[in-house]
Amino acid sequence: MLCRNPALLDFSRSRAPQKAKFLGELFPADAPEGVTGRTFLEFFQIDKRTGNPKGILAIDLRHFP
Amino acid sequence: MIKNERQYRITKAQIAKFQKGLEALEQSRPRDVHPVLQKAQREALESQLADLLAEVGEYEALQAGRQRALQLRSLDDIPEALIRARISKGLSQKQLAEKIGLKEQQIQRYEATDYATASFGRIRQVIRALNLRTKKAVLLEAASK
Repeated sequence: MLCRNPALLDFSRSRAPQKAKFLGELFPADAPEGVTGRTFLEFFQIDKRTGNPKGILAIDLRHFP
Repeated sequence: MIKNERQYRITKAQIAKFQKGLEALEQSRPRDVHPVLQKAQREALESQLADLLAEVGEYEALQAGRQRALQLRSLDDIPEALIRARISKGLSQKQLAEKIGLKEQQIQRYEATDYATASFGRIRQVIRALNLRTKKAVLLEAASK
Protein backbone atom coordinates (compact mmCIF):
# COMPACT_ATOMS: atom_id res chain seq x y z
CA MET A 1 0.00 0.00 0.00
CA LEU A 2 2.81 2.41 0.94
CA CYS A 3 4.75 1.75 -2.26
CA ARG A 4 1.71 2.44 -4.42
CA ASN A 5 0.96 5.67 -2.56
CA PRO A 6 4.18 7.59 -2.04
CA ALA A 7 2.13 10.50 -0.68
CA LEU A 8 1.65 8.42 2.48
CA LEU A 9 5.40 8.58 3.08
CA ASP A 10 5.65 12.29 2.40
CA PHE A 11 5.50 14.34 5.61
CA SER A 12 6.65 17.61 4.12
CA ARG A 13 4.67 20.85 4.43
CA SER A 14 2.53 19.59 7.34
CA ARG A 15 1.52 16.52 5.32
CA ALA A 16 0.07 18.64 2.51
CA PRO A 17 0.56 15.88 -0.14
CA GLN A 18 -1.38 13.40 2.02
CA LYS A 19 -4.13 15.87 2.75
CA ALA A 20 -4.48 16.76 -0.93
CA LYS A 21 -4.73 13.16 -2.08
CA PHE A 22 -6.60 11.49 0.79
CA LEU A 23 -8.28 14.44 2.55
CA GLY A 24 -6.66 13.14 5.72
CA GLU A 25 -3.40 12.09 7.24
CA LEU A 26 -1.72 8.85 8.15
CA PHE A 27 0.95 8.73 10.82
CA PRO A 28 2.75 5.41 10.69
CA ALA A 29 3.55 4.19 14.18
CA ASP A 30 4.73 0.97 15.71
CA ALA A 31 2.68 -1.04 18.18
CA PRO A 32 0.74 1.09 20.71
CA GLU A 33 3.28 0.19 23.38
CA GLY A 34 6.22 1.32 21.19
CA VAL A 35 7.74 4.79 21.12
CA THR A 36 5.87 6.23 18.12
CA GLY A 37 2.64 4.40 18.93
CA ARG A 38 2.58 5.69 22.48
CA THR A 39 3.46 9.25 21.45
CA PHE A 40 0.70 9.52 18.85
CA LEU A 41 -1.84 7.66 20.97
CA GLU A 42 -1.30 10.07 23.85
CA PHE A 43 -1.28 13.04 21.49
CA PHE A 44 -4.62 12.24 19.90
CA GLN A 45 -6.24 11.37 23.23
CA ILE A 46 -5.77 14.87 24.63
CA ASP A 47 -8.12 17.67 23.61
CA LYS A 48 -5.76 20.39 22.45
CA ARG A 49 -8.16 23.16 23.44
CA THR A 50 -8.86 22.03 27.00
CA GLY A 51 -6.20 19.46 27.88
CA ASN A 52 -8.96 17.03 28.83
CA PRO A 53 -8.84 13.35 27.83
CA LYS A 54 -10.61 12.72 24.53
CA GLY A 55 -12.09 9.56 23.09
CA ILE A 56 -10.73 8.27 19.79
CA LEU A 57 -11.90 5.57 17.43
CA ALA A 58 -9.38 2.81 16.83
CA ILE A 59 -9.48 0.71 13.67
CA ASP A 60 -6.91 -2.04 13.44
CA LEU A 61 -5.74 -1.90 9.80
CA ARG A 62 -4.29 -5.42 10.06
CA HIS A 63 -7.82 -6.79 10.01
CA PHE A 64 -8.43 -5.43 6.51
CA PRO A 65 -7.82 -7.76 3.58
CA MET B 1 -4.05 28.15 16.39
CA ILE B 2 -3.23 28.61 20.08
CA LYS B 3 -5.78 31.00 21.56
CA ASN B 4 -4.93 31.20 25.26
CA GLU B 5 -2.37 30.41 27.95
CA ARG B 6 -3.93 27.05 28.72
CA GLN B 7 -3.63 25.91 25.11
CA TYR B 8 -0.10 27.30 25.09
CA ARG B 9 0.83 25.14 28.09
CA ILE B 10 -0.85 22.05 26.57
CA THR B 11 1.03 22.53 23.30
CA LYS B 12 4.35 23.02 25.11
CA ALA B 13 3.73 19.77 27.02
CA GLN B 14 2.97 17.96 23.74
CA ILE B 15 6.19 19.32 22.23
CA ALA B 16 8.15 17.88 25.14
CA LYS B 17 6.52 14.48 24.58
CA PHE B 18 7.33 14.47 20.87
CA GLN B 19 10.92 15.49 21.57
CA LYS B 20 11.24 12.70 24.11
CA GLY B 21 9.65 10.29 21.64
CA LEU B 22 12.15 11.23 18.95
CA GLU B 23 15.06 10.77 21.34
CA ALA B 24 13.74 7.38 22.40
CA LEU B 25 13.29 6.37 18.76
CA GLU B 26 16.90 7.31 17.99
CA GLN B 27 18.07 5.07 20.80
CA SER B 28 15.80 2.08 20.17
CA ARG B 29 16.22 1.42 16.41
CA PRO B 30 14.33 -1.89 16.28
CA ARG B 31 15.86 -4.35 13.83
CA ASP B 32 12.59 -5.96 12.81
CA VAL B 33 11.13 -2.76 11.30
CA HIS B 34 11.73 -2.07 7.60
CA PRO B 35 14.04 0.94 7.05
CA VAL B 36 11.38 2.68 4.94
CA LEU B 37 8.89 2.36 7.76
CA GLN B 38 11.48 3.39 10.34
CA LYS B 39 12.16 6.55 8.35
CA ALA B 40 8.44 7.22 7.95
CA GLN B 41 7.87 6.83 11.69
CA ARG B 42 10.61 9.30 12.49
CA GLU B 43 9.42 11.80 9.89
CA ALA B 44 5.84 11.52 11.10
CA LEU B 45 6.96 12.50 14.61
CA GLU B 46 9.16 15.30 13.26
CA SER B 47 6.36 16.59 11.07
CA GLN B 48 3.83 16.80 13.89
CA LEU B 49 6.47 18.32 16.18
CA ALA B 50 7.18 21.00 13.56
CA ASP B 51 3.46 21.91 13.48
CA LEU B 52 3.36 22.26 17.26
CA LEU B 53 6.54 24.36 17.29
CA ALA B 54 5.09 26.62 14.60
CA GLU B 55 1.91 27.13 16.66
CA VAL B 56 3.93 28.02 19.75
CA GLY B 57 6.16 30.30 17.68
CA GLU B 58 3.15 32.13 16.27
CA TYR B 59 1.63 32.61 19.73
CA GLU B 60 4.90 33.87 21.21
CA ALA B 61 5.37 36.28 18.31
CA LEU B 62 1.84 37.61 18.83
CA GLN B 63 2.46 38.01 22.56
CA ALA B 64 5.66 39.90 21.86
CA GLY B 65 3.42 42.37 20.03
CA ARG B 66 5.74 42.84 17.10
CA GLN B 67 2.98 43.04 14.50
CA ARG B 68 1.45 46.45 13.84
CA ALA B 69 -1.27 45.36 11.44
CA LEU B 70 -3.11 42.16 10.59
CA GLN B 71 -3.90 41.60 6.93
CA LEU B 72 -7.25 40.05 6.07
CA ARG B 73 -7.88 38.19 2.84
CA SER B 74 -11.61 38.28 3.35
CA LEU B 75 -14.34 38.88 5.90
CA ASP B 76 -13.90 35.26 6.98
CA ASP B 77 -10.55 36.20 8.51
CA ILE B 78 -12.09 38.65 10.98
CA PRO B 79 -12.63 36.18 13.86
CA GLU B 80 -9.02 35.02 13.78
CA ALA B 81 -7.84 38.62 13.49
CA LEU B 82 -9.81 39.54 16.62
CA ILE B 83 -8.19 36.69 18.54
CA ARG B 84 -4.73 37.56 17.25
CA ALA B 85 -5.29 41.23 18.08
CA ARG B 86 -6.31 40.36 21.66
CA ILE B 87 -3.19 38.24 22.22
CA SER B 88 -1.04 40.88 20.57
CA LYS B 89 -2.41 43.57 22.89
CA GLY B 90 -1.55 41.41 25.89
CA LEU B 91 -5.14 40.89 27.00
CA SER B 92 -6.40 37.60 28.40
CA GLN B 93 -9.86 36.33 27.48
CA LYS B 94 -10.95 37.33 30.99
CA GLN B 95 -9.63 40.88 30.63
CA LEU B 96 -11.37 41.35 27.28
CA ALA B 97 -14.59 39.99 28.78
CA GLU B 98 -14.37 42.46 31.66
CA LYS B 99 -13.91 45.39 29.28
CA ILE B 100 -17.17 44.51 27.56
CA GLY B 101 -19.00 43.46 30.71
CA LEU B 102 -19.23 39.78 29.85
CA LYS B 103 -18.16 36.60 31.59
CA GLU B 104 -14.82 35.07 30.64
CA GLN B 105 -16.62 31.94 29.45
CA GLN B 106 -18.51 33.95 26.84
CA ILE B 107 -15.29 35.16 25.20
CA GLN B 108 -13.93 31.60 25.45
CA ARG B 109 -17.00 30.35 23.62
CA TYR B 110 -16.81 33.07 20.98
CA GLU B 111 -13.17 32.33 20.30
CA ALA B 112 -13.60 28.55 20.35
CA THR B 113 -16.27 28.87 17.67
CA ASP B 114 -14.49 31.66 15.76
CA TYR B 115 -17.17 34.17 16.75
CA ALA B 116 -19.76 32.18 14.76
CA THR B 117 -22.58 33.12 17.12
CA ALA B 118 -21.53 36.69 17.86
CA SER B 119 -23.79 39.44 16.57
CA PHE B 120 -22.42 42.27 14.48
CA GLY B 121 -22.98 44.59 17.45
CA ARG B 122 -20.89 42.31 19.65
CA ILE B 123 -18.07 42.21 17.13
CA ARG B 124 -18.07 46.01 17.05
CA GLN B 125 -17.86 46.01 20.86
CA VAL B 126 -14.84 43.69 20.74
CA ILE B 127 -13.17 45.89 18.12
CA ARG B 128 -13.75 48.94 20.32
CA ALA B 129 -12.58 47.18 23.49
CA LEU B 130 -9.39 46.13 21.74
CA ASN B 131 -8.94 49.67 20.49
CA LEU B 132 -8.46 48.53 16.89
CA ARG B 133 -8.60 50.58 13.79
CA THR B 134 -9.89 48.78 10.71
CA LYS B 135 -9.52 49.75 7.10
CA LYS B 136 -11.59 47.76 4.68
CA ALA B 137 -12.50 47.64 1.06
CA VAL B 138 -15.51 45.97 -0.45
CA LEU B 139 -14.65 44.81 -3.95
CA LEU B 140 -17.57 44.82 -6.32
CA GLU B 141 -16.36 42.24 -8.79
CA ALA B 142 -17.37 38.63 -8.23
CA ALA B 143 -15.03 36.36 -6.30
CA SER B 144 -12.94 34.18 -8.59
CA LYS B 145 -13.37 30.47 -7.97
